[in-house]
Amino acid sequence: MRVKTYISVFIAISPFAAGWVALFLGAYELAPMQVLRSLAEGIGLLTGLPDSPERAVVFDIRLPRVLLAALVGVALSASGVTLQGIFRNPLVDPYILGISAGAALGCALSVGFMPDVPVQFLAFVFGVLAVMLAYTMAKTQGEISRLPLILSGIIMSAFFTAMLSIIKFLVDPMKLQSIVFWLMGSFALADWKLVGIAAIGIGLGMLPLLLMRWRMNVMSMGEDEAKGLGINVSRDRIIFIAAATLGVSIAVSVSGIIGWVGLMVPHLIRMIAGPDHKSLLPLSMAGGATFMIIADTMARNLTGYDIPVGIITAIIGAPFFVYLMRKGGTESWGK
Amino acid sequence: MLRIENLTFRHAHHEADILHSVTFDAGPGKITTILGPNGSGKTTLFRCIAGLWKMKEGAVLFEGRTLRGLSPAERARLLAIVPQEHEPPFPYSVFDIVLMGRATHVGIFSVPSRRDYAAAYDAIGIAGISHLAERPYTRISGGERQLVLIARALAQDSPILILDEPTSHLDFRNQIVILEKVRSIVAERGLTALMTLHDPNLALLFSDHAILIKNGSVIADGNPQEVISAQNLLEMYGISVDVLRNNGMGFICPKIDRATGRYTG
Repeated sequence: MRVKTYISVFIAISPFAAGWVALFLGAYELAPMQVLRSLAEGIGLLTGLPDSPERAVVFDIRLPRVLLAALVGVALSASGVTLQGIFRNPLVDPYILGISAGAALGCALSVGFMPDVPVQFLAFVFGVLAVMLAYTMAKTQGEISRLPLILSGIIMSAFFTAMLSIIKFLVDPMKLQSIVFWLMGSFALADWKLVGIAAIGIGLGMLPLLLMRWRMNVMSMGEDEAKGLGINVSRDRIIFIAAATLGVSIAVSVSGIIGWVGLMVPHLIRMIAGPDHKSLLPLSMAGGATFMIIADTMARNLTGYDIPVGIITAIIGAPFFVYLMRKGGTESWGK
Repeated sequence: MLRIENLTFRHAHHEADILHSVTFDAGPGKITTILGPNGSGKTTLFRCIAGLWKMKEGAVLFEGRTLRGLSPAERARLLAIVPQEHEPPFPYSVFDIVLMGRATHVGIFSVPSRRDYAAAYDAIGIAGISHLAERPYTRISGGERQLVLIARALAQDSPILILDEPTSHLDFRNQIVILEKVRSIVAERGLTALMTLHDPNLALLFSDHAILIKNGSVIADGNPQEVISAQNLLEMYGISVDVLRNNGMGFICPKIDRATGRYTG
């Protein structure tokens, strides 16, 4: 019990530690003192100094990038926990259920053809469309079983990715380049404006999830049982799906498609802290932020290039999925 | 008093009724057991009473008030369901599972309060499984799981208890242990318990009131020692039995020839 508490505290503070370290690492070499001074200038502790490139690097490039990565990590992991809980399926996440692809299609539509409609709005609409279609397809009678849900998620992903390809084919080459780069999933475009959008949108999505997190336990017992325990299942499910999708859509709109985070982080945290959503959800948020900051720091520093972070998470995620399948066996695939 | 009145049910797009004007009363502090062959409508009846399926006609009344139109939360405060033991997708601890019984008392945007934790601990104590509280529900035996689900229903703090074949997956000892426990809890707390069983002997041993159902109709209703008779069992199951007597309790023995092992009814 006590060990669990220490580990929980460790997970809870890990994003701050990871973020702090990430600020000191980057292509533009800076001494630690320069980083600290730039930070102090940025938040107004030191004044009267001339604008310096160091300050721009730390305060206008690295800090927003770390914050954006953290916010996106929170959104993806929390959505993963929520979807796994309410669909009682440990193998789903926003990426597998096609929400990411749906949201990406919404974004591309907005960038390519409907510049007047906010990117985030179309991302949300198509994200919701994707998950509702996947859910309806998988739900035959009463309960939805595991494999059909994953299969219909894959179908939705394939469909929305195909629609996305049509858009790529039709837009002008200038826009195409930005769509393609953004689809790979990256925080390279991070700035304070994106951080602001992400903070508001993801915050709005995460609030109901945090408040209703204990109910995820009850929802995960299955529809009939949750009803018997006094839960208004259809109402709560809509709230959970809408809130999770809002978080994911905003994340996709600011950073493209970053897969696997929503699958891996909840599993790791569940292994460490147990399945009770009351602690699982907030700890997964913290763990997701840490994971995303570390992955992005690797993306910026491993090579001379700024590799899209979606590639890093996929390289880690695919083997992790195989590991889950082997370890879980019938526990994961049964029913 | 729980009253089931003229309950009639038919599946959507189906021609025939599955339940025909089922009517009976179940009193407080008693176990009312529903006996009937597979497909006789026991499960359908429970699903209608629990509000999971919409009945075509009739009513479920508790203390004279209808349960129709209640929200899931209101209904759960009147009626707790003990399902058959099962496996949830995540390895929740026994305590986490029992705490779920408090869902109807926890607001939509909140987590269980200290009172809810206390109620869950009490229920675990009454069910006699305090030693299991921290164990994962997925790693305990079927009998223990059934006790956990009973504890969860007690934590729910509802006057009506519905038990769906609580002994179906259990070994001989656990069948006795569970039913004895249920009976003492029901009597102590004055709960109205409605239970289905497959074994007429268990029904004779552990019920205060028996309802016999065949093809969706009640064919007998009364004291188990009287209504679980050779004649009624023949009508219900098409099997001839002898009823032996021991300490004033009946015991059902199918007509099997000792030498050949053949049914001789």
